[in-house]
Amino acid sequence: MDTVKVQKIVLDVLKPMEPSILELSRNINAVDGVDKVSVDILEIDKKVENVKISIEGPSLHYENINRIIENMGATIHSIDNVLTIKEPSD
Amino acid sequence: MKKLGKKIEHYEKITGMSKLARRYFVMNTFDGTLTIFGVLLGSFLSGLMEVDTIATMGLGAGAAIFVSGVWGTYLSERAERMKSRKDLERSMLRNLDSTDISRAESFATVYVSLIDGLSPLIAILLVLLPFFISFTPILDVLSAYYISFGMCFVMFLLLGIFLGKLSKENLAISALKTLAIGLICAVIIYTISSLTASSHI
Repeated sequence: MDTVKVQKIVLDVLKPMEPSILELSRNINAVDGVDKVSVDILEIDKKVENVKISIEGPSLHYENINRIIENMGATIHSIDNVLTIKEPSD
Repeated sequence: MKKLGKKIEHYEKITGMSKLARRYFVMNTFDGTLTIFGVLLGSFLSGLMEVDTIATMGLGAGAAIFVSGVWGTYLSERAERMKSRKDLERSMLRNLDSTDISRAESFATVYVSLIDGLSPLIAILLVLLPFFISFTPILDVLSAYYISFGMCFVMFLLLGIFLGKLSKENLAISALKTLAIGLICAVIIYTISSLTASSHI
């Protein structure tokens, strides 16, 4: 049976000002299967900021990424973009 | 150990606790030194030469300032941080319990409380050290007084230098400022001592 792997996810996230996007990015990057993380600030409010997080890797596990984001006090508003590939089984 | 270090570093990035701890450290070391200086100068001017009484008084002051520092800071820090977290929760529209934010804040509260309590206590114990030595025949009480007063002034100077380094100001001026505060305190205690002595006559 073929396996489908997620290789890119783009998330719309609301996060507190602290931890910074640098910390957030580093923590997401430490998750297994994540190769590259890019964070863009979309909007800055008094205590929170809205960011777009683009995550890439050979095999992403959304649950693990979500857990890290939630743990840092942030909330995923929406999944804006996903890239999956099919790997045929031998 | 490395993991713990990383965790503390992470908490520091969230709370910025080291800046606060540094402020508490300077403020309370100064507080502790000035308190014990006052206690010792008062007892010296009253002619108190019983080393056990002096040590008990000093340790009593140390214990009180430690308990007051730890609990006072813990309660006020906790309340302040709770308030700001509730505000943040309202902005985030979610509960932040069991997140790194709440863990970091709890850690920072305990950390700064301990700094607040321990820094004056350590300062007091250091200044009292000559009196502990004077329990042995090595040092007499009068010498212990002079050494302790000297230590107080050295600590005032060191705190001034530390503050000067922090604010990148002239170190000598900064050291002289803290030293001057010690001298002002000495003048006040001397005046009080003279007034109370004259009221006995």
